[in-house]
Amino acid sequence: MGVRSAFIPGNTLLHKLHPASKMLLVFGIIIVAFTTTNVAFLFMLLLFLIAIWLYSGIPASRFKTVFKIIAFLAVLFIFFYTAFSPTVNKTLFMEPVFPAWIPIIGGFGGYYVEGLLLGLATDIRLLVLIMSLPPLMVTTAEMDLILGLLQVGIPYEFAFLLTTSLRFVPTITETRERILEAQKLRGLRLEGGLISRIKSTVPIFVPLIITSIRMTQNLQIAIESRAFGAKKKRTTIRELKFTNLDKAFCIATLTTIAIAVYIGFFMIEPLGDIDLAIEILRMILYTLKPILELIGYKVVI
Amino acid sequence: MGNIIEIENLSYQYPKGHKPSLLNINLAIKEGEFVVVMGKNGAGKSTLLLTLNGIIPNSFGGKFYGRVIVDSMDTVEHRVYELAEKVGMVIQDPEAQLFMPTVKDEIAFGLENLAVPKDEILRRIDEALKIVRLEGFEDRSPFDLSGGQKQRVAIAAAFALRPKILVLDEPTSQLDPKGTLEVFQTILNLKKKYNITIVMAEHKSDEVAKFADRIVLLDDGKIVREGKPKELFSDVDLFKKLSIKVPQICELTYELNKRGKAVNEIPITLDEAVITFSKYIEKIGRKIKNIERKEFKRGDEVILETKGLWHIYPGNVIALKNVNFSAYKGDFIAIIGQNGAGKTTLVKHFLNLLQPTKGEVLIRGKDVTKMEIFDLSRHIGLILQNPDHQLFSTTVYKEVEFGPKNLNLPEDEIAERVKFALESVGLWELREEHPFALSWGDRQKLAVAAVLAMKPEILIFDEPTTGMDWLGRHQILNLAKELNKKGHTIIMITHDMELVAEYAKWTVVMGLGEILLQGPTYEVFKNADILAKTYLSPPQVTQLAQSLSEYGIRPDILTVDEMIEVLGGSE
Repeated sequence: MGVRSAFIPGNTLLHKLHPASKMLLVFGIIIVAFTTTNVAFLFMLLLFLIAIWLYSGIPASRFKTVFKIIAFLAVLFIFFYTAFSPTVNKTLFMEPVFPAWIPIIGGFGGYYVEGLLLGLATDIRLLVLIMSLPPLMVTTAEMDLILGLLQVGIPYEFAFLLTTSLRFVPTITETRERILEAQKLRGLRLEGGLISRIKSTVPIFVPLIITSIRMTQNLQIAIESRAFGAKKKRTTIRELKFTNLDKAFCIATLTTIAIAVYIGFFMIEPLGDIDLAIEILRMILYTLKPILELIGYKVVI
Repeated sequence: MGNIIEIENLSYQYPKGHKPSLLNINLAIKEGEFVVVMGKNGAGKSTLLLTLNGIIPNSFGGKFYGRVIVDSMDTVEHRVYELAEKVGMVIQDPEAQLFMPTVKDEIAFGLENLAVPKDEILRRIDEALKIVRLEGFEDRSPFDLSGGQKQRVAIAAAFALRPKILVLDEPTSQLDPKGTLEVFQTILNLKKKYNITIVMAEHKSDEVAKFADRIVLLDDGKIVREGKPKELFSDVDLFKKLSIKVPQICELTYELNKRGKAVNEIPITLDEAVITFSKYIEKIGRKIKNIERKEFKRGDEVILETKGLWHIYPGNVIALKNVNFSAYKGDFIAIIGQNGAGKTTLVKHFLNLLQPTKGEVLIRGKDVTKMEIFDLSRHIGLILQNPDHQLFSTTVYKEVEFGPKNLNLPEDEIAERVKFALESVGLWELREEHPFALSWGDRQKLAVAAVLAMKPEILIFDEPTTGMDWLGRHQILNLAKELNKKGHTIIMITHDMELVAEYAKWTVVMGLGEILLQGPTYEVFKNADILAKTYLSPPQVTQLAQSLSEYGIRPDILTVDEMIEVLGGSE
């Protein structure tokens, strides 16, 4: 059986906070991540986020697939930015092994320190972006999340739709597995090249979509027959209180965001200390030099 | 007491329908009545039920003629949410109608929509959980409950709005016998304590006979007849004409009467039948004629077996406990047991979809875990409960062609296999049709053909009859029987004991991950006490035979035909 709910009960500070406070934290982290490309600064932000994960007991193993995808993208970004550095000041550290006209691996005449740093910054941003949501989802019960969304002004119909669709993900996953099992026994192959892979999804997705449409219709009947939309103002059996703890938390969060944004914008350089980066890079390249040169790269610094 | 529901000259056609789904329906239902609507799939049962809370036509649109008056409210003149306070609705699929994270929120949902004050909501949640006997389940997730429990939560959620009418659309069709019993008990409880009017669509005729006040027979969108169960079930011909199942004892009585045996009063429940037939046997001077059973012989070629199979899920949940199962060539095996007994887990091991924690699974002596799915597909085919989970092509022909093509067979071999498979299920003429243009029954046959084209020795039917009407059930199992005769080994999982008795030669009873009992089907059904452990009971006619054992009737009577022979159907 699949994971039924993102929420894990607990008793941490995050569990005690109002969903709105947690949403503020999430938005704060995202805003800060986009104030600068300074790698050291972004790295600190990432460490802070990891600390939140550890503190609120978020099971990283649950997000294995997500991390795998990020890892793939991260390598792609680094490579792309390093070889096609879009910044103006370019410090060459390695000459390419392939001529520039070969697409992707060719590079425009070399690999640049700035490009490498920008690639790193983008990777960290991506990681921060993805990792900022679980602290909210994992520490907030679905109903509280709906209520939280309502209280920050999102219409009930929309909040309901959002959480209900999340609710049906496991059911659909299970259906998908059953379909997959049956189609495999009819010789469906999932491996092979890109085209055959795309082709092989048809026998799974067509039945899945048809089944989902039918389920949606049933859901509509169920919801309507329980007086959905009867009154403009619904009551609710759950209460969410914005406590003093929330007030303190929000003030602290806002202050921190303000300081971080100020630092990010005015006190540090984009990308960071190039000389330091070169030093570090030099140390790494020094050890790797024989291998790199063996396969044809020419290390410059 | 007045009528709480009045339907006058109702006709209805869906927006995309080609013909009316309901035609000139006139029906009046009294307050507190328990009315069951019966009819084959597509007869219009669900459509009729959806008119009662105004979803038809208010939400679905379409052409609507006539009037539906519910508790003095004309459904067309009121919004669905206004009617929701009068009419509660429970549908077939337990998963699709529960959408809240906890049972408490699920029940509260409707009340919150109606802006009922919080204290009152909490009071009503307690009340609703009490009536469906789920006290203490407030904070559980509906998704983690059993099928029967889910449907009871759905009933509680409907009941919490204090409706005068509860409408249930085949609420037990996806449940095991235990879940079915729970749901019926709950409904009766509601009717007794709160005088709620019940309108229900249901195929399970044994329960209908026992509990319904009135039956409405629908066919092709029209009411064919209505009346008390006793009155209607004595007209077995009518039910046969409409392809609706009657309780086995009604069929038995009817057939005996037809042979001039005059069983005076027609019983509709088992208790009545025991009395009626005791009298009858006395009347004929206890001259019964027992059937002879040939000694049961299985094949001698083992094709599938498990040896000391254990499966332990993460968290130390023991799903299978030392299971030793074997299938011989030519077997027709039924695996029965309540949900959670381990049936599906066992079958998943046959298909190498799950691997043993301990023990082994062998197909023709070869370890399944070491077989490629390709190899495996030559030995085993799987037919799912819902054909729509398997079909995706644009024509019937292409659908069947998919499997053999994947095996990279030569063109002529593929063509030959497709023809063979489609002819086996009788769909060759429809080969150019779109699969979704076929009827449900034909789609199920197509799913079988698609698997047949792989030429597997073993065919597994996973609850092939869930949600199907009587006709559909027999069609699919007659097909299985035909294939069995041609040499295929059949394994089916089902909750329908009458079908097991009629079709399966060998039966395996599972309970709590163990094989409790296995043997020839007639031997298995003799052990009502062991079956009861996994909440199963033998078919009605077998139970009747067992209750009449003092007259020397064999306790292993399986079908109505056998019982007719025993009670003197033959001259």
